[in-house]
Amino acid sequence: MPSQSLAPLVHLLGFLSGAALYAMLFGLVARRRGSQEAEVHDKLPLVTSILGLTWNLSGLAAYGIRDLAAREPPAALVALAYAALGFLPAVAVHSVLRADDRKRTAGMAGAFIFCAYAISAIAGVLMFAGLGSGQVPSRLALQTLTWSYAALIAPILLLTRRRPGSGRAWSILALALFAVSALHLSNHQGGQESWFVEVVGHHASIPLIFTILYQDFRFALADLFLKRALTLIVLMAVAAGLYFGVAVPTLARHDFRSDVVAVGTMLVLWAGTAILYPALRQGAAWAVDRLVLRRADYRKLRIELADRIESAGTAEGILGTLSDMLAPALSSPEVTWEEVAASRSEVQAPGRISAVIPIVTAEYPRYELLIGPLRGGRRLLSDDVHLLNDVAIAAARRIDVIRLGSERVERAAREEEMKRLAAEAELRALRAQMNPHFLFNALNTIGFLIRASPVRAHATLMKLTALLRSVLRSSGSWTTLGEEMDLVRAYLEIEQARFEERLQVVVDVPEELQLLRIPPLVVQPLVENAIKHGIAGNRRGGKVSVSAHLDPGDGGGENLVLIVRNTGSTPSAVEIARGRMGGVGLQNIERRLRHHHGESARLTLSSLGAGGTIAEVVIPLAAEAVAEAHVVARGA
Amino acid sequence: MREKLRVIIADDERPARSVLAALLRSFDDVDLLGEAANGAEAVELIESVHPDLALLDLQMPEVHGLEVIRLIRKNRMPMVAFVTAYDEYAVRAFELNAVDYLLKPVEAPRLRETISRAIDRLDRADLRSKDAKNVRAAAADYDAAIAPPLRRIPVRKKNEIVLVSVDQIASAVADGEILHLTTLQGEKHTITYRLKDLEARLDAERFLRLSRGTLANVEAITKVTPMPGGTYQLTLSNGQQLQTSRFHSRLLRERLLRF
Repeated sequence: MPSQSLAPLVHLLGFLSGAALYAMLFGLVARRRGSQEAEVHDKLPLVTSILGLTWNLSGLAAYGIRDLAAREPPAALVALAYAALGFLPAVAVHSVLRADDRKRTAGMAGAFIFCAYAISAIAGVLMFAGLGSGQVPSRLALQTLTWSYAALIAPILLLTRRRPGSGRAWSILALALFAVSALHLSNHQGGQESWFVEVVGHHASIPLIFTILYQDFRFALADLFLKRALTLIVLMAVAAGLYFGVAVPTLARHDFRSDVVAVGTMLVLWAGTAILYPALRQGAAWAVDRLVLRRADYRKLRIELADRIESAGTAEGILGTLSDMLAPALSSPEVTWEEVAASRSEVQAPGRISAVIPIVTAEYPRYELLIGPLRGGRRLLSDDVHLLNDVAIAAARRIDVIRLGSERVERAAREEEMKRLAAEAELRALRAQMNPHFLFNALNTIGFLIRASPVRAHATLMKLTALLRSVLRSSGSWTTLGEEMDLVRAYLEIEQARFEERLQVVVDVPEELQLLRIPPLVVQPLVENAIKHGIAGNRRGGKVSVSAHLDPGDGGGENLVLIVRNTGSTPSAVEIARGRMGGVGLQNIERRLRHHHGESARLTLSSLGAGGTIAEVVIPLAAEAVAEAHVVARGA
Repeated sequence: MREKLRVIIADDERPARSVLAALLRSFDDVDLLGEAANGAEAVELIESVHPDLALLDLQMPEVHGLEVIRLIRKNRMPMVAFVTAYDEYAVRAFELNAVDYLLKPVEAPRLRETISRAIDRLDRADLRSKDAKNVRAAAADYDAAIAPPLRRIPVRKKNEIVLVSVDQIASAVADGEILHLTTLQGEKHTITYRLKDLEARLDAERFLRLSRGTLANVEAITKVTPMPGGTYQLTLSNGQQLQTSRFHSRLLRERLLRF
C-alpha cells in the first residue's frame, strides 16, 4: 500500500487514540481529585494529561488542516503542540525521580527534575522563537530536547538503580523513545517517511500514556480500554478471516445479486459475527482480568473464603481472614473491619474508604468491612459487589452460629456455677444453723449427765436428736411456728442442762399461732445468739425470753411478730451493725425472710436501755393464713 | 514414787468441770487442787495454790482462758492446756505455737497424754519457760486472727481483777512490753499487752494513734496546742498531756481539726 495515502490515516488514528487516552487519564485524575483524595502526586498525572491532550489535539488539528484542507496549519498551533510535547519528558523525569525519598539522593533527584523542566522550558521558548524565523517546529528546539534527554537517561538510570519495580524501566523506555522521536522530528517534517517511522516519530506520547495508565490506573485502562479494544481487534480479525476465507470465494463463484446461496452465506456471516460478539467480549474480559490485571479467580476465591469462614472459631477470626483475603483480591492496600454498636446515629464513611460492607448478624454488636481505596483506578464491579455481599452474609451466619454456641456453653457454665453456689450455701447454712461449738458442748453435757443423771442424759440426748432432725430437714421448705418452737424448746433445754441455773427461759407463744407458716430456723439462731451474748458471756447468767404475737401491719394485713430478748449484754449500735454484717446466721435469716416474704419482712436488732438485747422478726401474713390458723386452733 | 501432778480446772459450765474432774480423779498421779468457775477465779486460784498444770476453758465470761494467762504473774505461770468445744481459730493458734489443747468432750486417753507430758516437763524449768512463751504467742495469734471487739479489759490490781470498760479509757501509753492505761477519772492501770494488738481490738473511730507508742480516746481530747515543728500537744479531760509525733500530727489534722 502506498505510504503517501497511509500516513495521514496513521496520524489520524494515532492522534485520536492519543487524545482519547490522555482524556481518559484526565478524567480519572479529575475524578480522583473530586473524591478528596488529592495528593501532591496527583498533580503530575493531571499535568501529563493536559500536556498530552494539548499535543494530540493540536497535532490532530494541524494534520487535519494540512491533509484535509490541503493548506499549511497556523504556525502558532504547531508551536504549541511541539512545546507541549517538549514538556512531557520533563514530567516523566519528575515522576520517575519524585518517589526517591532516600535522603542521600533526594537533593540530586531534585536537581535532575529541575534540569528536565529547564530543558523543556528552553525548548518551548525556542519553539515559539521559531515562529519569527518561520521554522516551525524549530529544529534547534527538537535537537536540544533529544540530546539533553539522551544525556539525562544515564544519570537517572544510575540514580534509580536500587529502586524496585518495573515502573522505572517503562518510564525510561518512554523517555528514550521521546529522545529518538524528537531527533526524527528534527530531521524530518513528516509526511514523506514510511508509516512506521511516522507513527514512532509522532506518537511517542502514546507509550508514555500507556505506561502511566498501566502503572497508576491499570484497572481503568484494562477495564475501559483494553477489554473493548481487544474485543474489537479479535472481532475484526474474525470478520476479516471470514471475509477473505468465505465471502470472497463465495462471491467469486456466485453472483451476489441473484444467487440465493451467496445472499444466504452473507446473512449467516452477519448473524454469526453478531452472535460471536458477546462471547468474544467475555473472552477478552477474562483474558484482560487474568493476564493483565491478575485479578483473583472469583470462583476459587469464593470456595476458599467459604472454607475459611466455616472453619473459623471466633468472629474476630472470621473478620480477620476476610480482611486478609479480600485486600489482595480487590487490590486494596487496606481492608479492615470494625464493630458496630446497636445505637449508631449515622454511617459515616471516611474519605479514604471506597466501600462499607455491613455484616448483619442477628444480634449486636454487628460488624462492618471497610474497603480502603482501590489501586489502579479500580472500581468495584458488579461481580465484586456480589462476592462481597455473599461473603458478608456467610460471615454473619457463621458469627451467629458461633455466638449461639458460646452462649450455650456460657449458660451451661453459669448453671453449673449456680448449682455449686447453692450447694455451698446449703452447706454453709447448715454449718451456721448447727453451730459446732454448741454441738460439742451439748455432747459434753450429755457425757456429764450420763454419770450424774442417766435419765436426764437420755432426755437431753433425745432433744439433741430432735434438734438435729429438724435442722437437717429444714433446708428451703416451710415450717410452722409450732414446729419451730418445738425445736427452740429442745435447744433451750440442752442449753439449760449446760448452763444450769445461769440460764432462765421464758417462752410465750399463743396456741392459736402454732400453725402459721414461717421459714424454718428463724427463731432458733436468734435464741442461740441471745444465749451466746447474754448468758455465756455473763458470769451470773441471765434470762432469755421468746414470744410471738399478731400485729396489724401497714398494708392492712396482719404481721406475725417474733421477739427474742436477752438480759445481760448491751451492745452499742456499732457492735450490732458489725454483728449483722459479720454474722452468717443473721444474714442468713434476713436473706431467707426476703426470699420467702419479700421486702416487707424484716429483722431488727436493738439494745435495751436497761441492759440486754432484743431481736424482732416481722413476717407479713396473708389474711386467709391467719383465719385458717385461727379456725384450726379453735378446732384443736 | 514421785510427787503427784498438781492440777486445777477452770470452766464456767459445771457439767464440763464435773466431766474433767471425774476423769482427773481416775488418774492416781494427779492431785486436783481446785476448780474455778470463771477467769477471775482461775487467776486467783492459780496464784494461791501454785498448780503445775492449769486446764483452762477458752470460752469463759468476762475473763476468758487466754486473758487468764495474760493476768498471771510471770513467776507464777503454770503449764497450761486449753479446753475448747470448737474454735478453729484457737486450735490453729495453739497448733502453730505448740501449745497443748483438749477438745470437748474430752477423751480419757487424750487427757492422759496431756498429764504425762506435763509430768515429763515438771522438773525442766527451761521447757516450762518455753511453754509459757508459746502460750503467750498463741494468745496474740488468736486475738490477731479473730480480733473480737474489746469491751472490758481485765486488769490486775494487787489481789483482785478489775474490769476496765474501754469507754473509760482515756489513753494507752506503751512502755516496753507493758501498757499504761489511764482512765477518764485519772486512774492508772498496767497491762501486758502490745499496743498494736490492743488497737486492733478497739474501735478505730474512737481511739486515735498519737505516736508510735500512744493511743488516745478521741472523746477525751479537750485541747489541741500546736507545738514548734508541726506537732501538737493534746490535753485530755483527765488533765493528762500527750505529745503527737510528726507523722501522726498530719493524720490528726485530717481527722480532728477539720470541720
